[in-house]
Amino acid sequence: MLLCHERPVHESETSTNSGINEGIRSFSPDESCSPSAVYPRLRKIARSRLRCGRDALLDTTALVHESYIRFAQSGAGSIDWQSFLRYAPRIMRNVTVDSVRRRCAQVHGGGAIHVELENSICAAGEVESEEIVALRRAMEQLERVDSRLAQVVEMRFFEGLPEPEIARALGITERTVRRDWEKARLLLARALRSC
Amino acid sequence: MALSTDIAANWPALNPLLDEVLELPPEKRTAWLAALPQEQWELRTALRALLADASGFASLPASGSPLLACASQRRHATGS
Repeated sequence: MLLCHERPVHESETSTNSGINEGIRSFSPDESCSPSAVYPRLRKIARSRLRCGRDALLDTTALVHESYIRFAQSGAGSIDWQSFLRYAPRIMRNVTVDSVRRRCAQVHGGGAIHVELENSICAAGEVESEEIVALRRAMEQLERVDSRLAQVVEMRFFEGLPEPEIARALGITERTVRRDWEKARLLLARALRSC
Repeated sequence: MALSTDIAANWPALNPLLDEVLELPPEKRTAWLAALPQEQWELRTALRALLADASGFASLPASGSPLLACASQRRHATGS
């Protein structure tokens, strides 16, 4: 299910509808990862993701909510908000990619089942640059080698989260975040050379 | 040298060595690599290549499009 709004949803509507709010209300406890603390951070990640301007069908609220639904459906039982925050960048990336694919399938007459991302974006009138393709491939390689390094890059580079927040989300020290970032840069540089 | 072959296969061994060498200032890394024991010489080659790549990314910012620009320059410079 994809929450593609037919009309723009204003940010002021954020806490008035949708399943995520029920999840938030039913969540308990620890202030450091309470829904009220996590939700603004999720919206920040979503805004950052949407700044790329690749998806006119999703807004911040829809992206957060759709990501929440996917995360909730993927696990059993109660929502671990800290885990949700940790995986949110990746889930949001998948949601936006799926949204672009869906839009392009519609552009192609609605009958297309599988549309490659590059073709989708081009069909929608947006050209994905050579650099983005190369970086995405490098990120895929990085993820296969060390998924935590890829998470650090997702959160720091793509989402612009500060080191303390990344450390909290991943359950590691800030020093480890800095070290992971350094190692990730080395691996990305090598991967980009081989793209 | 593709990341998926030489780095991925040896990553469990490379990872702690990278932690160690990255603690050192750049001017001391060459000597550190040279001092690695013989059984780690294969890893030394991979480490040296990784650290050499890093020189082109020395000014990489924490976020934003400069990485893309850097990647582009790098790739164009290497003719890929």
